[in-house]
This record gives sequence, structure tokens and C-alpha cells, in this order.
Amino acid sequence: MNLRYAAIKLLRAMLTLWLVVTFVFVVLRLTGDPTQQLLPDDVGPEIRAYYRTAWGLDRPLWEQYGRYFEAALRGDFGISFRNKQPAIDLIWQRVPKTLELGLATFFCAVALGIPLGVLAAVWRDSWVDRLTMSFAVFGFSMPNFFLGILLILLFALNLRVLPSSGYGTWQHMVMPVFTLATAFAGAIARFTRSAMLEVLSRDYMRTAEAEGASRLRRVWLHAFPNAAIPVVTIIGFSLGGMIGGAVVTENVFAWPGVGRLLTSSVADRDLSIVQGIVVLVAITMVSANLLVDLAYGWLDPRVRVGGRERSR
Amino acid sequence: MSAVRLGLGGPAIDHPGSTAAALLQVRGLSKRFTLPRDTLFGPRPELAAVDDISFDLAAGETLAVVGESGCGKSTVGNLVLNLLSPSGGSIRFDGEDLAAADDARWRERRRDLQLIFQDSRSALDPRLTIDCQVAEGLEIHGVATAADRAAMAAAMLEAVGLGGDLARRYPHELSGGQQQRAVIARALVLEPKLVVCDEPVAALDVSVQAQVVNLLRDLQRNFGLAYLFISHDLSLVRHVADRVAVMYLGRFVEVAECEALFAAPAHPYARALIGAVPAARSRHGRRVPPLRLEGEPPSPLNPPSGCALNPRCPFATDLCRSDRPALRRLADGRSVACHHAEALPGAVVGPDIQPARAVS
Amino acid sequence: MSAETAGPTVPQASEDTPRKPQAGAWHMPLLVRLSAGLLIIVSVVALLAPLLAPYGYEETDLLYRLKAPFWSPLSIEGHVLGTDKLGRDLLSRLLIATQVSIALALLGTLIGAALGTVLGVVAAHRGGIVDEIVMMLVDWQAAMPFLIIALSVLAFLGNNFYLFLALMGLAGWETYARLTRSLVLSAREQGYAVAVRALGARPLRLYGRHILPNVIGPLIVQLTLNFPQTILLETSLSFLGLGIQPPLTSLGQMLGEGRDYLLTAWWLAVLPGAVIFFTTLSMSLFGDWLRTRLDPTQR
Repeated sequence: MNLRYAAIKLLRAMLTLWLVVTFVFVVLRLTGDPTQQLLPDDVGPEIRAYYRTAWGLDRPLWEQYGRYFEAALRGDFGISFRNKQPAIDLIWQRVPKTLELGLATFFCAVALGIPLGVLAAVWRDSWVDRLTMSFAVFGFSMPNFFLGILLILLFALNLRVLPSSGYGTWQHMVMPVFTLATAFAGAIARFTRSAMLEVLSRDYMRTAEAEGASRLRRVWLHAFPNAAIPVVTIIGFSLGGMIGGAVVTENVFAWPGVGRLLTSSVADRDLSIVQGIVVLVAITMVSANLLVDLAYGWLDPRVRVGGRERSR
Repeated sequence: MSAVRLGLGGPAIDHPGSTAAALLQVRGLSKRFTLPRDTLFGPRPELAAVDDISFDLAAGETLAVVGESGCGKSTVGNLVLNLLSPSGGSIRFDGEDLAAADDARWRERRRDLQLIFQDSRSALDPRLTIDCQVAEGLEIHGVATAADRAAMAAAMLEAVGLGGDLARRYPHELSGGQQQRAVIARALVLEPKLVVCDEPVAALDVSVQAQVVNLLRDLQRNFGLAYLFISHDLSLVRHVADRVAVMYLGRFVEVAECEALFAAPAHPYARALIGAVPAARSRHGRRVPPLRLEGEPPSPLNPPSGCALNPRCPFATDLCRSDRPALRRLADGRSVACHHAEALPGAVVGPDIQPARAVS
Repeated sequence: MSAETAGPTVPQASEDTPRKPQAGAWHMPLLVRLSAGLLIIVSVVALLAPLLAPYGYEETDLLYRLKAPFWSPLSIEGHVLGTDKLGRDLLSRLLIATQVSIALALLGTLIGAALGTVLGVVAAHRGGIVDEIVMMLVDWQAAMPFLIIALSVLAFLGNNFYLFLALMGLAGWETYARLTRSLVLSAREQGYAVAVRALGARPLRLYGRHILPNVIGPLIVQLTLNFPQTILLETSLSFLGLGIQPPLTSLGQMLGEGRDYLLTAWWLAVLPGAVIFFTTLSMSLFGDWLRTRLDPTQR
């Protein structure tokens, strides 16, 4: 991998982050007086005036932007008006719970999706293949709030084997993880399948076959490592969909994570928290994309500088 | 990329042989492509596809540009038509400096400057019928009424042999030769003064090639067209061209009357090129002495110093390795870019008294 | 590499114009036929919902609340699918909600397609800094989960119908922009595009009459793939209570309301959910089928 490629990707990542932070600033200013948004409705005009000065809203716009930007760099997004605590603290409290859900989903989806995709490619047009593709289409079309509700109906209300919502034991995790992992695993399986099919049709696979390598050996030692590169990419790019899905899933199962904090904050217009979460998501996404890009450049030396090779 | 005048334009008097009434005057035309950097802060590598080319073309005349693929001959055509913007030099057409023309002016001028492609299949929009595409040029330039335009298109198609039912077909319903006729009709219905023919028959069967070439010649006679004829096919060029320019690595190395060039090419590269054609014989039936060049053409990214041909030329001297020869005029009127053109074994012409930069 | 291939005008030997499919290629498998049938029904419902609905979707009847649908012995006459917590007729609400959800998704998809296509053409045509800016926006939007963007905009600007519609349109514009840009860039180098430029055509004619009609196939396929995504976005937001607001209703909003009655009246949530699922499923299956017909290289 060459340095220029890495430098350009890093620069783009920083640029994206800067755009997100600026976007939040611009949209917030567009809405008019931030004291209207950030303070409770019942405060008097003198308090508003006090905060206007304290927050520097009487300053020129560029200076406000500078202050805002500097505060954002420190992770300071202001005080939540619901809880009267710094927004960043409230967000950090929720992060481990969402990570717990996200990591469990990630492992389940990968553990399910990759073997399914490989088998579907190896036994193309068999029942395994059909099952996998049906599963992928199902995962793509099924809204996760509906899947979650069906699961609650079946396992919590009728069979009574799992708690319908909440957080704490491993039983609480089963349904949210299943809900979130379905679409993700389907996408991974579908992508793995087509990557494998492409690799399996290449000449060196035929060579390996002619050399008498066993089928298992051919698939695991020759085909899979080559198919792995695009698969890593799709896993990275699916992260966005997973974050969106997590917001909905946490709401269905009353999971006390960042997603639920976000929706309740949006409903209450607790803007400090919304700002903080948007920037946090942006950092996560940009870092993940950067890692994928760098991994891709490292795994595949053919990646050219400045190429927009990724397609979705 | 704006066209930079290199100051090579000058008055026509600097270029003996050029007529003041030349339809197209090209002076010092260059095109450099900038490639992406290969290191983080390194310079962007440049590739000179066309380098300091000058020529004149009179109304009704055919100038052929020949050379191997990759020598930049198609780029010359694209530059003349402003489908690419030149990096330097000037193009005067019909007395107007086209480098100064803006987009709107260019759109008007395109009526007089048309193009015939090599790949006629891709040159036609697959979703529109032939008559529709032929009439489109008239529509763009707001010529006549819709009904008149349809009649003009039909007449033009008739003239190229695509009358009646054929005119209302889609491109994929036509044969290769018919498609090329449609492309010719589309270019000529605007009654242009100059047509750039970029390998116009290379994609056709040999039997069809002759028909299309004859059609081009008939149309030239009827409409007084000037052709800039770009081709790698020397036997074809010999058949159609009045004058021929031989191109190597982005530069003209020899410009001569067609008959004179094929009888006795002066530049070593022209000799190699023409000597390779089995049918190339001089007027007296004597074969052009075959000349074999060693190796492959060098990369245009990294051209050799001095004469671009020197690593391959059997006659190369130290002078050839250090100084790039300018295109100069020989006694019989041709122009050659070779230090030793008169002294080479088998040379047929002596030196001219006055040196010239270009142009026959 | 030759000098000519380095230049930007050299036609690539790429074959991206959709070839004429053979007659047999349009054979529809059973599943695709079922999908097409369902999509037709959904379209009819979306068009004629107010005529089909037996009651007004806002008509409350507090005497008949949470009545069961026809398959239950507790069902009552006149309400085929029963009633909700305010005694509103579920069938009528379901029809109207389908209309609202489909119309929103369709409008949103079309707005996004138009915006993305125009920006993609502009980026490809102008190149340079314009291209960089458009592609930066594309990368930016692709980098952020759109649900998060939508939620933050709704938080900052407050919810109203037109803002919500605009958000539906912004979802997915970047896939069209990216697709259009790459299609146009390769089509521009095709002989016919160069020829039309050489005739002296203005950009509007070049793109509108020649290039776009030639690359419309992949764009339409993209439309069928984006449509289910837009439905899912609308229903997700409405489900969270942050999209379509009462008294107006949508499938997601009905489902969100119905989840409080899972134990007693599960159909309140399951019926709208089933409509969403089968609609997106049919659209995906149909879109996939269309894509394999138009582009044999994709699986």
C-alpha cells in the first residue's frame, strides 16, 4: 500500500467528520435562536439573555463557529436540559450497552452469514443455495421492528420462554440480537456467495482441481482467502445499516442503549444529546470506513490512488 | 485547460507553399495529457500526445495523416474539432481563430467542421432511427422547417445509398457498411467545409471499404469538401490523399505530395512504414528500398532526447541523439524532419535553399 | 499504453447499452408473478383507498373499541378486520395507511432519483471541482446511516409533513448520483455521444435526448431496489413516532400504535406489518428479476 493512498483516505475521513460537525452547527443555527431549543420553555427572558451571553450567541457567527468547533473537539456538546448533566456523560453511560448488542450481533451475523454464503456457492443451485438466498431476501425485506414484534408475540407472549423486553440477563439478548442479525447475516451471506462464485470460476481454481486437491482443501485454502477481501469490505459498509437497525431494535425491546437515548431525545428535542450522538455515530462510521479502506489497500495492492472503486 | 498561443502562428509568408486562402491553418499544435502522480507530492507525469504540429489544408483538398496506432494521429483530429482542448498552438479555420472561440461560437462552427468515425456502430445512437439522427444536425442548427429538414435528410440518405425503407431503420438493423453510410450522411447533411475522417473504413469488410471510399471521393467532388483523413492503412491513403503527413511519436516527420512520398519517402521512418506495404512501388516500378527499424516505439511518457527515432534508426549519429531535427523543406517541396535526409543512402532529393518549419 | 488511450476522448470498448433481450428471457417465474400480482393489488389500493374504505379512517366509535376481526367468534358485523383502541375500522385505516406509505415512498424515491440523476449528470459533465464536491457529498451521505441523519434533522427542525417528504427524497439520492455519474462518464465516450457533440448540440440535448435514454435501464433497476428501502425508512420513523403524525396514519405508525395491544389484539400490529413485509418483499423480488434480465453479468 502506498503512502499517498493512505494519506488521501485519512484526509477524506477528516473532511467527512468536519462536514458532519459543521452540518450540525448549520442546522442548529438555521432553526433560529438556540436558547429556544436548548433551554426549557419556562425560563424567563433574563435567563435567556444570560445564556445568550454565556454561550457567546451575541458574538459574530464565525467566532461562534470557532467556539463550537473547539468545544466539539473536547467532546463538549452542552448540557442535557432533561437531566441537567453534560450530554457526553449521558451518552457514554449508554455506549457499553449498545456495544454489547452490536458485538453480539456482529459475531452471530458473521458466524452465520459466511458459512452459509460459502456453502451456497460451493453447492450452487442446491437446496442450501436456495435457502440462503431466500434468507437473504427475507432479511432485506423484513423491517426489523416487525420481526422484533413477531418474536415478542411468539416467544414472550405465547410460548413465554423469553423476556419481552429489558436488559440484564443473556435471555434478554436473544431476541434483539436475532432481530438485528437477520438482515446483516443475509447481506453477508449473499455477498460471500457471489464473491466465492467469482473466485471459484477463476483459472487457478481449475488448476487446483486438476492437481487433484480435495474439494474441502480447494475451498478453504484457495478460494476462501481470495473471496475474503470483498467480504471484509461489505462487512465494513454494512455497519451503517446496523446502526440504523440498532436504533429501531433498541426501541422495540426497550434496550437501554444509545439508540433509545437518541429517539427519546429527538422526541423531547434534547438537542445537546442529539448533537453528541450524531457526532459519535459519524466518528464510528468514518473510522470503520477508514479501517476498511486501509485494510483493502493493504490486502489488495491493485487498489489505485483516488479510485472510487467501491460500489454499493 | 486553455489553449496557449505559442507565437508560432505568424504571417503565412513564413511558411512557403501555404496559400493565404488555406481553409485550415494549424500552427504549433500541441496536446499534453497530465497523468496522476505516482508519489505523494511528486510532479504529475506528462505525456505529449501531439507535439508542435503545423499544417495547412486547402478547400477541396485531402490531407492524410498516417502513422502507427498510438502516434497521436487521432488526437490531431480531435484537436482540430475541439473535442479535446489543445495545450498549445493555434487553429485558424476559414480565417477565424478557433482558439478564441467560446462554447457557443464553437457550436455554430461545428456546422462546417464534421467528423466521420471509425466505429460506425457505436457512432450511431442505438435508440433513434437513422433519418432522425441525420436530421438532428439540421435541427440543432435551426435549419429550415421540420418538414424541409426531413426532406433534406431523406435526400442526403438517398445520396449515400440509404433511400426508402432503410432510412427508417434503427442502427442495429443495418449492416456495417450501411451504418457507415448513415454516419457519412449525418456528417454531410450539414454541408460542412471540412470533414475529419478518423479511420473511416477500418472497421469494414474489404469489399465494402472500396464502396465507402468511392462514396467519400464522389461526395468530395460534389460538395468541394476538404478531408483530414486519418488512417494507418497506407494503400488506402495512397488511393485518396493529395498530400500525406507521416507521424511518429506525436510529431510530423515528413509531409509530402502523395505520389512523391510513395515513390521515394525521405525520412527513415517513412521509408520503413512505406517499405512495409507490398504494393508500394515507385513510378518506375522500382520498389522502395525496404528499411527495417529495430525494437518498438519508445513510450511517449519518456521520449528519447534528440530525434525520437534515434534508438531505432540505422543511420543515427551523435547529432541525432543530441538535437531534435526541425521539419524543413527539401528542394522538391516536401518537408522532412531528419538531419541527414539528403545524405541518406538512396536519397532522391537535394537540399532546398531556404529552411522551413513546416508545411508543404 | 498508447498516447491515444491516455486521452479522455477515446471510446472504451465497454458494452453498457442494454442489449435487446431475447423473447424467452422475459419468462417470469411463479414467485415473480405472485410478486407482480401483489404489487398490482397494492397499487390499486394506493390509488383507490378512499373509495374502497368502508368507513372514514378517523371515524371513532368508542362503543366498539378493540373489536376482533372476522375469524374470531367475538367479531362484530360491519368491521371485517375489527376496530382499534378508539373504535376506528381497521380495514379502512389499513387501506389509507397503505396509500400514505406507498405514496410517500414513491414520491420520495422519485425525488431522490431525479435529484441524484441530475447531480450525477452535472458531476460527470462539469468534472473538476464540481465533481469533487458532488462526490464528497455522496461519500458523506454514504458514510452516515440515513436514519440518524433523518432523526437529527427532525429533532432540530421539528416534524412536519413536507420536511418528512424531503427527507424521504434525500434518502438514497447518492446511489443514483454515483450510478448516473459512472454511466454517463462511460456513455459520453461512446461514438454517438461524441458525434452529437460534434454536430454542435447543447449539453441539454446531449444528455436529455441521447445519453440518459441510453442508460435508463440500470437507473430503473436502481429505482426498484431503492423503493423498498424508502418504505422501510418511512415505516421505521413512523413506528418510532417520529414520522407521520396522527391524525394522519401510515403503516409504520399503525404498527407502532398496535404494539401496545400485542397481548389482547395482536392483529393491530401484525396486519400493517404484514402489508409492509409483503410489499417490500415483492418489490425486491421483482427488482432482482428485472436486474438479472437487464444485466446478465450480475447475479
